[in-house]
Amino acid sequence: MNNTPYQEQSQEYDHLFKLVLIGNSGVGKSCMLMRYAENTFTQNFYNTIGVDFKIKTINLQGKQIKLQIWDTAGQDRFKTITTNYYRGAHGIVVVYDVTDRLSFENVKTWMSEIEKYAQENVCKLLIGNKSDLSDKRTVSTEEGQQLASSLKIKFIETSAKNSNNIDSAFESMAQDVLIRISDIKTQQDNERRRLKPGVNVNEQKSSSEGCC
Amino acid sequence: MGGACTKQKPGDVSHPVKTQEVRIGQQGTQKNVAGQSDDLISIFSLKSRLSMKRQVNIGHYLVQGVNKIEKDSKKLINQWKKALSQYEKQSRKEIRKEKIFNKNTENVLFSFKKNKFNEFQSLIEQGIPLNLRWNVWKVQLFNKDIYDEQLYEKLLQQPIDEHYEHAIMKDLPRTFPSHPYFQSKEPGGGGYLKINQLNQGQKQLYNVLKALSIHMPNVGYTQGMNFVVAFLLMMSAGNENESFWIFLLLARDPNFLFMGLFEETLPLMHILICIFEKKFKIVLPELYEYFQNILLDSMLWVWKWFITVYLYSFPIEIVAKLWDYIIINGGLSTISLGLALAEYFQKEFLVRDMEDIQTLLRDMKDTEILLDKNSKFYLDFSKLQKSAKKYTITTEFASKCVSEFVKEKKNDNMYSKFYIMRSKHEAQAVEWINKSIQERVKLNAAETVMHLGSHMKSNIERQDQQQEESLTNLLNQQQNQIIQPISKQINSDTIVVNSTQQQQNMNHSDQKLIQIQEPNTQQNQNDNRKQISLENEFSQANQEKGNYGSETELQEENMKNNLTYPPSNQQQQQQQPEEDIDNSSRQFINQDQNVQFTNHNPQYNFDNQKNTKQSSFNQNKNKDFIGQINPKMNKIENWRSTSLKNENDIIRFTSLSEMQDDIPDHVTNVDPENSNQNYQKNYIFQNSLSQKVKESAKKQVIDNQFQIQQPKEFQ
Repeated sequence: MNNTPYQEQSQEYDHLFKLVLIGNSGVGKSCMLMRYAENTFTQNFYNTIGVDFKIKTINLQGKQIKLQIWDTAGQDRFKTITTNYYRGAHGIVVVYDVTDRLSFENVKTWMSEIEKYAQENVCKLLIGNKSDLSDKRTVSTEEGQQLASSLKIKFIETSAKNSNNIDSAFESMAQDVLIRISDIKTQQDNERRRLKPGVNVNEQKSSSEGCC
Repeated sequence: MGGACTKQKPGDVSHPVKTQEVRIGQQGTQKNVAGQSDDLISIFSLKSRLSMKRQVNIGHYLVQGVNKIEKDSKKLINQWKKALSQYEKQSRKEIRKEKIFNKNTENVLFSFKKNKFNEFQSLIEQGIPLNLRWNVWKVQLFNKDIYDEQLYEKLLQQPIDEHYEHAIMKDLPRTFPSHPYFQSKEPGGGGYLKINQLNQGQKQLYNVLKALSIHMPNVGYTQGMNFVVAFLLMMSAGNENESFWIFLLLARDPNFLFMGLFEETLPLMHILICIFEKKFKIVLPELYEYFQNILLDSMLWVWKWFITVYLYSFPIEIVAKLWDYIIINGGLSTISLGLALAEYFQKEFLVRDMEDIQTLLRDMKDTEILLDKNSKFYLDFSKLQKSAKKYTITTEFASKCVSEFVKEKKNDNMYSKFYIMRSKHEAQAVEWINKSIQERVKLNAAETVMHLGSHMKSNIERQDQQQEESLTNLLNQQQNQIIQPISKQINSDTIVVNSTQQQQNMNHSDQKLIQIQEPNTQQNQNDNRKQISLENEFSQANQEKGNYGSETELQEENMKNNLTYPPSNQQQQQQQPEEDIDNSSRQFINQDQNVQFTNHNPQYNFDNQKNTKQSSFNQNKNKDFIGQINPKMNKIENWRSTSLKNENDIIRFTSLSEMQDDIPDHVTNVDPENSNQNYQKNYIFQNSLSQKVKESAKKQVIDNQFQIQQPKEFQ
């Protein structure tokens, strides 16, 4: 999963970012992705089996950025499979459902999965989805914010149904990845200039496009 | 919010009375929709042979769902008609010998398959007409050794693990949501529907998934099962029992072992994928290489094909044909079909990059491009079948792949063992796997005890407040009389049921006990039989004493068997030579908890009468054995029957072994129609009592766990 052929194949974009959506079953990961990539919303969805991905190309700071967004099955027993996809990810989005308390409580479990399987400085984002269902809400915005700040990650509430915040969520994620990548690049350049065979150079080379 | 919904749901669905309503509803709808048959009674039935002359339009919902289905050619239908009618004429006697099924067609097919398998197989290769498909599948998979007519009904009465229930409920609106049979009545806001929002298909889907998760605790519920079960419901024209059984047979049959697709770690998936990849590399090297280059890993395609047996990725009409092939050729043919499909679309794959392939794969399920003869993706099934044959996976090849896999990944399990063993010692391997599976499924009892807590809780929560008040009043009037007779034992494990926490404590400890007492393999079978006979004896005795059973009938039965009911203390004790409490009976006494637990099962509300004959047989067989342990049973029985004189007098003791008694008694001893009501009443009653009981219980600590103090007035 480390080197995608697209990096060599296509010239249509400047960067390819891989994002992964995780979170409990039924929080709306696939719907969010559908909304973002195809701007449609349907409740006639199959539950996701295994993994799937969709593509969206956006323009950020004058750069063409291709987002390859991976959607994963939320059921616990698929974790052994889905966690394989964390490693190559530049950004991981943890989604919970504001009407499903359990999915919120499980955010910590998902975070620890990221710790275990993803690259160390992967970008993270917490999303509370289904914000349109205000009468069914069981997790308040403040709680979401508190949790996010305790985890030191960004937080946003979205609604795939009425399209609220979906674009900005993914774009802010892309922005973070972009910043991190340029940080790494400058770091790398500095190191090269100093001609120091830094400990991590190999690692950085192998994922020069990545944020980690 | 979600949590609150969940708590209500188990009750609503697993509620015995309500389930029945659903059933009746189904019949009605079936009649309307299919316009042909009201036959929903088990068609598998071994015993009752009801006249069912009219054919159910099998696969009706399938046709209804999608209009593009190819009509069966007249040639095909005539072929089948001719073959079957010819066979029927020639072999009337043969067919009569084994009338297993209710339907004549199925009996003919069964006998045909048995005696002329080659002809049967070649007919199937021509294709199965829509009207016969389900019958053929049934006949092909039927296994009388594991079939139990009443199992499904029994399971529906049992409580389901809340965790699995939650997962199932979430997936109901996401299972073939655009198929009319499963289409949600109203769009569920968050996807999570309430029971009353479910349509008929979804209710049935819930029921079958629930029964499966209870029956196979090692599986529970895995996403993917929903598609398989929904498909079976479509194919059976909404027959829950049959769909349940076809799934179970596919899960347990050594030729399929689909149970392994859905167990916690998805063990069979790893094996199938590993065999697939090895064969793929050999037979389609170009495509294999290409997929390697574009980094398209099997997770994105063939993995999904296998775990849902193609249902996730192809139109149902295609899947039905793929299943025809799999059901006749065994589980490994899932792999050969995968290879055949890869070959079939090879040209299309080779000109696409990873994203486009992904889109194409997605389109294969969403649209009907595979069904349109003018489409360049049109799937010619006979061509596909030929190429699948070419790629048949031999047991030797499978064995080789799996042993390599085990070495590489150090991942050894029941399924890998089986596949390795099978190529050399087929018979032993099959025997071994059957046993292993049986053992896994047997966890059932222990698991269910664990789930019981949540079930009881939800029952209690559903109580009508008024009812509770009136019962509390009653309690206040009677409390002095009632508290007296209670025996108690206090330790960490033995508390009266009154709070959730305590229930859970109980259940944990119960579970431990039961697991420890679970005897090993072979003995198990015998013991189980003994258990059954005891249960029946138990319920009979209780029936009579509680004046709920037909006394004369029971007496007649008992006369035949030289057993006297109700068994008097003296008689029973005479029957039991003291030195005879040998190991087995001791073990059995320990297993009391099991016995009593199974007694919980509300099936007895409905089945007591039916069981009479069988139980008398068992009584005879196990007479001596029962005699040995009877003193204890007798005590309990006496105590119970007397305490049952007044319905409201039911109050329970505190020893661990007795705890589990609580539920079955109320359920078994009452009239089926009122059973639930009584059940609830008793619980409320206990609930409100329990504080007082606990207080008084603390004062009297009795060391012997099994000792039951009888109420003074009855001693």
